[in-house]
Amino acid sequence: MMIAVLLLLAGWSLLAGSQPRQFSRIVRHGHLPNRTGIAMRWAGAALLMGALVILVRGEGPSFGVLAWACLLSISAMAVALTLAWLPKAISAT
Amino acid sequence: MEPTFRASMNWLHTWSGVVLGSLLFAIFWMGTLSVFDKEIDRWMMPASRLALPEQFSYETMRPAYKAALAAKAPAVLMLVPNERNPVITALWRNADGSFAQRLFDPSTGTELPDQGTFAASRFIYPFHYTLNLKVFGLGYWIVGLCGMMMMVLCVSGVVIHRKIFADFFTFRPERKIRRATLDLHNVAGVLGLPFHVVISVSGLVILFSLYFPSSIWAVYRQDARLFGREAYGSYVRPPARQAADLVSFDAIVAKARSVWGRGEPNYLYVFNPGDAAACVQVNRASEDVVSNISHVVYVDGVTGEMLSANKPEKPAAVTQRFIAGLHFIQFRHWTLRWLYFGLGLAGCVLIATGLLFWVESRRERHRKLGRSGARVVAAVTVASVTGILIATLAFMVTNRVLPLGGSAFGIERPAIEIVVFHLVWLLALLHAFVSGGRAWVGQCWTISVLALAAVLLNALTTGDHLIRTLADRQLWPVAGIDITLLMATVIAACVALRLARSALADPRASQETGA
Repeated sequence: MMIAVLLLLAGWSLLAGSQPRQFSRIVRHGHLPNRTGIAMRWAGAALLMGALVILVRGEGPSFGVLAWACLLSISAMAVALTLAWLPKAISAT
Repeated sequence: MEPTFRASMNWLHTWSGVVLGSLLFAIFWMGTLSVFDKEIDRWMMPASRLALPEQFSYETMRPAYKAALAAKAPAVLMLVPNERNPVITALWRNADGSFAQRLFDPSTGTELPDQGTFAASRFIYPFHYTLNLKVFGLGYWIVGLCGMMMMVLCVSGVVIHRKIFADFFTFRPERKIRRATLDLHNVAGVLGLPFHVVISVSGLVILFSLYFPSSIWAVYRQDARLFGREAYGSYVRPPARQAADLVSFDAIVAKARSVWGRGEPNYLYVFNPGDAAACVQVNRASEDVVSNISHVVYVDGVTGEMLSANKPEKPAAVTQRFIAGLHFIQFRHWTLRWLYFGLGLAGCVLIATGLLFWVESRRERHRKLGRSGARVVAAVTVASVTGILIATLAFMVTNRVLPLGGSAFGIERPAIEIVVFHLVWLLALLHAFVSGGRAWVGQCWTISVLALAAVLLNALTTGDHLIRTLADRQLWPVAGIDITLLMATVIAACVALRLARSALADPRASQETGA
């Protein structure tokens, strides 16, 4: 379960980082090359699907899919909230 | 009519949200608490904080059955004790139609003292699907309408969200309150969308026989019994009007187990108790499956012979039970239970921020035009959001303050708790009207104080303080409620401090909001 959570957080982070708006919030004046953005998107999606495979194998098809769907939302919210305060935290350090 | 489809959806989203937002918040809040209804029951009924016996004999349920028999109940439902609800709970209707609930020790079968509360199982849980409005089933219909409108809000919200992918992770708390509120509304709405849709749809599907009765009438006409028999394998028989004693409960459960293969029952429902035609409905607990599946076996209460075992359910019934299971969460999975709780809170944030955004985007314009709309909605929003939290906490504090068996002005203890809940909620609304924008700060402080008081009162009146409950495995449900209350204390205090600080920093804004 913990590995699945970590994969989901990493997957959403990559998907968020692939968006120019979020990228520029984290890396000041940073430019995200188009190819890198696409690669990050695919890698992010793969990690999200990897979490599904782990959960289905560990929890069974019904509980696995349900836990994945719930964790998908919660982990995405966690990434969104982290991104909200991350620039402030980075500039403070 | 609006000029474009998107504008029409925007109008629909805005006004259905404003009109039903308060009710939706109440339903979501109570539904979220219902995820831990049994744990709240343990907190509010200290006598039920018992350990499960290592070897449970179903015969321990005999005193509960005898109590129903003495009350001449036509049927008695007996809940089998389990990890979350470690007491034997017997429920029946008395001969005069009044409802009775008694608790029994799972080790000895002795009756526990009346706890004098409806707690979560009989107040908070039914509130989220009936609003406790029983007249003409009005509550069911209002909640059903809210469920339908929640789906309308989800769909229209997606349609009007122009940059749904670009804004996927966008929450900018540093921006002006209006923008930050909309960001939070979008994040909670878009990222929690699957949960919001599933929980609304499943809520409607559970009560499909009420909301969509034509689906049954089309095939079975008015014969509800035939539908119950074919869909769920239900069985009924009339009383023989001859006295007879019930066979051993262990033998009844053994007979049911011979059908299931594995699994324990979650309840025993005795029809015609004390009669020669007594029959016992034994239902397999759905702890190990998502579906709220009904594996029902009917056993003759006098001979112990099997009368009927449910046939394989029809595909429509299987689908309905699976969707119902997604909503009921009767399965034993603590991670999922906490995830449901978190997503339920996200739903509350979604509704609250939607209402707040409406108020913030109209406050200035309405003030200039001399309209009272924004002020009225602002007050109702405060009462709907912080007001219901205060009322819930007042309900819990009252539970710990009132002595067992206490009554006032002819009102019994359970009713006093409920009167306090509604009275405090009404006072929160009045306070919001009188205080304007300052109401948020005041009500956040009230939440903080009441949540802390609830924890302290629990420790004082039961001796189950946090250190003790954390050390004892069987008291973890109580510890969980106490820790959640302490977290509420801290969060509410932080919000109150931040709001008070921003009011000081921007006196002009606070003037506008009445601070």
